[in-house]
Amino acid sequence: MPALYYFYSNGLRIASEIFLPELQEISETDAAVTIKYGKVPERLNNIIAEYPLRQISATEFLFDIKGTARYCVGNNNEVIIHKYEGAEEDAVRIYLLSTVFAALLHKNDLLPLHASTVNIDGTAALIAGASGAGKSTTALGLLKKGYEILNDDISTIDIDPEKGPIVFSGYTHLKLWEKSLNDYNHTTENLRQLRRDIKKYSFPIERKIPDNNLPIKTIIFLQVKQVDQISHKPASGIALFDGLRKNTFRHRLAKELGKSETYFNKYARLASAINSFTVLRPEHCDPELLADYIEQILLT
Amino acid sequence: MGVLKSETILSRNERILTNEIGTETVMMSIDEGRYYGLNKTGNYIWRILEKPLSFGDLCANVAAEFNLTERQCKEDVEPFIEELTKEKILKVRIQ
Repeated sequence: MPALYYFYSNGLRIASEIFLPELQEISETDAAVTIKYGKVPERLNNIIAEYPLRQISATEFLFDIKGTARYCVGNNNEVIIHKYEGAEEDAVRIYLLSTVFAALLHKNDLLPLHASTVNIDGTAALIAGASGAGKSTTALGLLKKGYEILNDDISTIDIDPEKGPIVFSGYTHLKLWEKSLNDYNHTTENLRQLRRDIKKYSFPIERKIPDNNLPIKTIIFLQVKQVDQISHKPASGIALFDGLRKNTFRHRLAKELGKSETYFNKYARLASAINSFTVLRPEHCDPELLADYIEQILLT
Repeated sequence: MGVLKSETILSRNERILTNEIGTETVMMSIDEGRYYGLNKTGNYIWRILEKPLSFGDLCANVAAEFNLTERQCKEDVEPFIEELTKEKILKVRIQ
């Protein structure tokens, strides 16, 4: 049997045959999730729903990226990967850490949001938004101001019976465009490029949260609009629900996996326990100004 | 317009989930997967339709609750009910 690596990410303890530099490595543990190479069928038995690249049965989720890998996630939290000949391990990991990981989280009723998480005096502030909204750049700006960043891009939420909504720490890197790094006077030197064809880089961050989760106090929905200056307004009711659903990572996949009801109720629990704001920003705006603006909202 | 008669019976679609957030009610249709928000009046209408009710009785209730004339109320409530019916949130049964 090949050696196993152990990781913690998004509320899950993972034993993996593949080394995952994006995740926090931990010492050997009883892992809920196992990741290994093995045989993956081309078709699942008893398919209940089928979409391009993916098949769903009552017990399994199959995801097939020709030329890279075919992945199967079972209800027992076992991820089996069949790597296509000649595929690069970086590419195998990208789909593993995005869609396959999303399926794993959804199957465990752990709600992944498209959001960065910042630690503000021991409570979490989530900055949610579509790609390009400025989540990671704002996270970097707040990091420069001395705040701890728990998550970049994906933040996974659960409802704790005692603490209420909590967010887990996930990856240990920010994913940043070269331009965003340059805005903060960083070069891409010594940084790992995420994919050869994309100028996006992996920027390591240090974390020191004691038990890997924090209660959530605020969620900000960051949107690029045709406006002259940055503004914000409270988000509540249907606007908040829509924001949460739109920013749920792979939300169509969650629906396909039968999680619509579960998540609707989670959104309600979240909505009743947190403050929420929509921040509109112009397409071109000084990242430091935006970070200052968001810091002000989070401190009031 | 105008398909609703006083004796038309209105009832909730059972496949709707609701959550109350502050003064707003947010609903999800299980089959369509869509979300809807109801304001205070909408929320009141949804609440009293817990049991099927005729359109006439519904309007009488809303009029009393919000101090409106029944006629005024019918004009205001009808488009709302028609929309909820179109979205399959409510069911109508013509007597």
